[in-house]
Amino acid sequence: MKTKVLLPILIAALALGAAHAWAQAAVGAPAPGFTLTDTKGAAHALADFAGKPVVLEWTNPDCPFVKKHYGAKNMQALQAKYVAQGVVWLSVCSSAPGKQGHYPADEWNRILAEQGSAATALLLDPDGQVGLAYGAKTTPHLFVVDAAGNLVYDGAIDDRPSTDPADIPGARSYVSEALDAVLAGAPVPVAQTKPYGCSVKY
Amino acid sequence: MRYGAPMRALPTSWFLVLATLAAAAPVRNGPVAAELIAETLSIAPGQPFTVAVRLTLDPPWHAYWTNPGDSGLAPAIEWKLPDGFTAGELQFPFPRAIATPPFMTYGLEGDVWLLATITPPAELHEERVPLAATVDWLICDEYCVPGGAEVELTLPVGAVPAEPDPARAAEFAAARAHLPAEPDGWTFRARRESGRYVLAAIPPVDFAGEVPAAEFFPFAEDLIRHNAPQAWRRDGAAYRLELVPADPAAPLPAALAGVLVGAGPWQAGSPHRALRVDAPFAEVPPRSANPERNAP
Repeated sequence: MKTKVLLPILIAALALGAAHAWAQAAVGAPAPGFTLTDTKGAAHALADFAGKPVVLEWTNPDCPFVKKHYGAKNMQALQAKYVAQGVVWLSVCSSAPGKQGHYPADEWNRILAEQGSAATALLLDPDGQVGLAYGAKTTPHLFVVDAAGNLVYDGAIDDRPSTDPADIPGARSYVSEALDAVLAGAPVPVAQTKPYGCSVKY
Repeated sequence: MRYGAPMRALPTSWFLVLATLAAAAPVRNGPVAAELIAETLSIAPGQPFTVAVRLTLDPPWHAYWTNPGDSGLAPAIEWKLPDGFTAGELQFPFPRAIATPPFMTYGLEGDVWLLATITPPAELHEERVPLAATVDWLICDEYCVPGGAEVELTLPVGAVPAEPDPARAAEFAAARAHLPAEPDGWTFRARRESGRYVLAAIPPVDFAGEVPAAEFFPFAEDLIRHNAPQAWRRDGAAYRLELVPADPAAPLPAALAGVLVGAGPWQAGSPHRALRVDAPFAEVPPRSANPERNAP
C-alpha cells in the first residue's frame, strides 16, 4: 500500500510545483470555467449557466461526513430549496478510478435515486481536473458562483465539523447564508471558511 | 468526614486490589482500542491528577491532531465526572505529517496518549470515585471511519499526596515526552519575507547540538499552506524555517504559534522532540533595495 502511493506523491508534487493545477479559484474572482459530463451522459459547461447562481458541491457517497448530511436529508433539503429558487446545484465527484466514491454513471444514478438527491446534476470528474482547479479539499466542500460568474463562497457547508447528524439543527449553514445573500443581491457575509470532511480522493 | 486519614492506615495490598479494579479493560471499536488510565493509584481531595485517554490504532489507520491539516478531525472528549470534578483540556502529542497529495494532514498513529488533568473537589466523601468519558474520533487511511467509545475508570480516594502507579510511570513519562515542551532557552521570532513566513529559531548560547531538520505544525488551521514544503536551514548561529502562508494576501497574523518538531534534540539529554512555539511577528522595517542577504 505504502509503495503504491509514492508515485502519485511525486506526480502531485510536480503538479503543485507547476502551480497552475491547484486552486486557480479565488473568492471574488471569476470562477474557473469547465465542461464535465453528468451521470446521464449530458455535458455541462459552467458558462451554460451564466445568469444563474451555481452551487458546486464536492461529494463522495461513502464518506461519513457526506453520509451525515445525506442521511439526515440536510443536503437534499438545501438542494430542493435553492433549485426551486432558480439556483443550479451541481454535485461533483472527483474520486479517481479505484478510489473510494468512484462509480460508473449507472451506479451513480442508483445512488442518487436512493439518496433522493435534488441536485440539478452530478458531474463526473474522475481525473480531478476541475476539483484541483477549484482547490476542492474535502467532501463535502461547497462553492457558490454568483449569476455574474464570480466565486463568492468557498468552504464548509456549516460550522459544525463532525460526522454527527445531531449537530445539523443547531449549525450555522454557511452555504444557505451565501445563497440567500446572492439571491437577495447582497454581499455574502462569510465568503471563505475551512471545509471539513474526508479528503477528496484524487 | 474525610477519607484521607483512615485510608492512609490501610495496608498496601488493599491498594493493589483497587489498582486492578482501576485498570478497566480497553474498549475496542473496529481498529481502535480506547482506554482511560490514571497516573496515580488513588486520588486525594483537591489534588489535581493526570489521566490518559489512550487510543491504540491498528496500522495503517491514523487519527488527527488538534489542527488536522487539510482534512480530518481531532478526537473529542466529553467527560462524565462526579459533581465538583473538573477536567482540563486534552493535551495532544505532536503529530506526524501525512502526505496524501495534493493534501497534507497532521496525524496521530499507533499508541496515542492524550493527557488531561482532573481536579477533584476540596472535599470528597466517597471511598471510590468513578470517572467516565465518551471519546469520539475520526480515523482515516484511504478512507475515513468515525468511531467512539465509552471509557471508564474507578479510583479510590486515598492518601495525600496521591500515590503514582509505578506500573504506569514509564508510559506516562513517554507520553509527556511526546507533548510539546516549553522552549527552554530557545527564542523564536517571526517575520514576513518575500511573501513567505520565516520562523527564526535562536538556540541557547550553550547549545552545542545540531537540529538537522524540523517541521512546524501550526495550531491555527488557516495559518500556512499545509501541503507546501518547509525549508529548514542554518542561518548563522540560528536556524530559519520558511513557511508558505495560507493566504498571501491576508493581513499579517499576530504570531506563528504551533509546535516545532526536530529531528534532533533541542537540549542535550532532553526527551522532548517538540517545542511549543509562540513567535510574534516583528515589525517589518521599510525595505530598501536589499531584498535578500545573499552575501556570505
